[in-house]
Amino acid sequence: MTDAALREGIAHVARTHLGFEGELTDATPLVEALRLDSVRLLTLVAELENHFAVMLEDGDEADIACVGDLVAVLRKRMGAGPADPAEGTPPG
Amino acid sequence: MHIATVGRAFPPHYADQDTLIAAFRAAWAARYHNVGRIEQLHRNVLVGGRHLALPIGDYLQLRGFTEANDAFVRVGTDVGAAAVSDALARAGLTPADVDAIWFVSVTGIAAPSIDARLVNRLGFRPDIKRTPIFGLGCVAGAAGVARVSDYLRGFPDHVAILLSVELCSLTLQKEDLSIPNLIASGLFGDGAACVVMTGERRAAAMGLAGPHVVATRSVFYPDTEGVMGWNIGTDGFKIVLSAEVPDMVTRHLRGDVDRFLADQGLDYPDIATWIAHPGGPKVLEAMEAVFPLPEGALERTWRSLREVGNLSSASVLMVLREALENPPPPGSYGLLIAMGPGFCSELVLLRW
Repeated sequence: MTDAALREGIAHVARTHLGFEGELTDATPLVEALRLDSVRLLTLVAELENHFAVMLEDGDEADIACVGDLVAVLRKRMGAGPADPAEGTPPG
Repeated sequence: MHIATVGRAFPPHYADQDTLIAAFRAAWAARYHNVGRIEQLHRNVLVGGRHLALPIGDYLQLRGFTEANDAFVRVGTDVGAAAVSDALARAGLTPADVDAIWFVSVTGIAAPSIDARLVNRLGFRPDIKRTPIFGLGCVAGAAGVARVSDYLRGFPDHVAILLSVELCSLTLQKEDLSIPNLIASGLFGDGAACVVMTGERRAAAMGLAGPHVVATRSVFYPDTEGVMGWNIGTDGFKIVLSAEVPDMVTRHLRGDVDRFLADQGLDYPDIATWIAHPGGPKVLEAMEAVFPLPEGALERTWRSLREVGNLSSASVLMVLREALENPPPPGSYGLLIAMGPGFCSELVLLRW
């Protein structure tokens, strides 16, 4: 899968599940652009996993600041085996 | 405005969290690539098990809002009757003694309301004053105590009851795989609680030893409608739950309680008993972080969360029940706190 296809997949998930409107580039900062609090971050992670049929791992978020970083992490995880779900404590 | 007793009732079905997680995994695995996330979310809420309105296998058979709400009316009337009967028996009262009833719920609707059905079932007097309230959500237990207290100021010889019936399991959205719905499906449980309260003169006549309501305060937070609530549609109640809920504690609740206590001439060391709604781990951790609480002050609340989950408005009344059974010395103060959709908070100062 090309980086462009990964970027488009991220944008699709952001539009569909986070109400994002606009364009994403590699330099787009994720937390600010997608207003990622803990619930929205978990939503992004889970829906990316569904969309790309990939498992993201604990600690992956440490390497991610912008869309380009996320593309790189997704590329690394594509084809990887099952992993523990990312940390997330609900707000309830 | 005295609190005489709190009764409670649960539907007869109970499942531990492991059993519930297995059921959710089975139901959602085909549509969720990383099904381990369901388990992680359901374990993070620190709930050990929950009572259920229906046998666990029946939930997948429910077709839409009509059948779920029919179950709410049927089971809700049963557990509501049981909670009222428990509360009145503990107070040595009968339904004929009750002058007014407040009914609160946010997990089902009925007209005639559940309280009306209980007039017929339990034999309340025909002149009973009824006030069913929908929509306050988790704050309704505390708000209900406050509103009943307001009423009893004007009717010091009366007996009034507050009944909360919450069957959260019947709001489950099987087609909604959003993170808020996954959290809600792991956190919320079913139950009913009933508080018996009396006016001052009635309490004196009965020789009540329970706490009285010293003061109450409602605080509404403008422009926070998206923090928590329902989107209501064809399929019923779809959860709205944002990560801002714990932030409400940090940003607002500490200052609200500061002002409330100061207005009563009190400070934190004066509060012997904390009766907090068990909203969830992050909310309780936020409370423990921002309030100068003594060690274990929220233990009743944590225990309630572990044992039965978040029962929305009924939860804080379950915690109140525990506080009544282990009262502090006479003269001690207690603070009952809950937050809910609006977003808003309700504070009730008690004194034993």
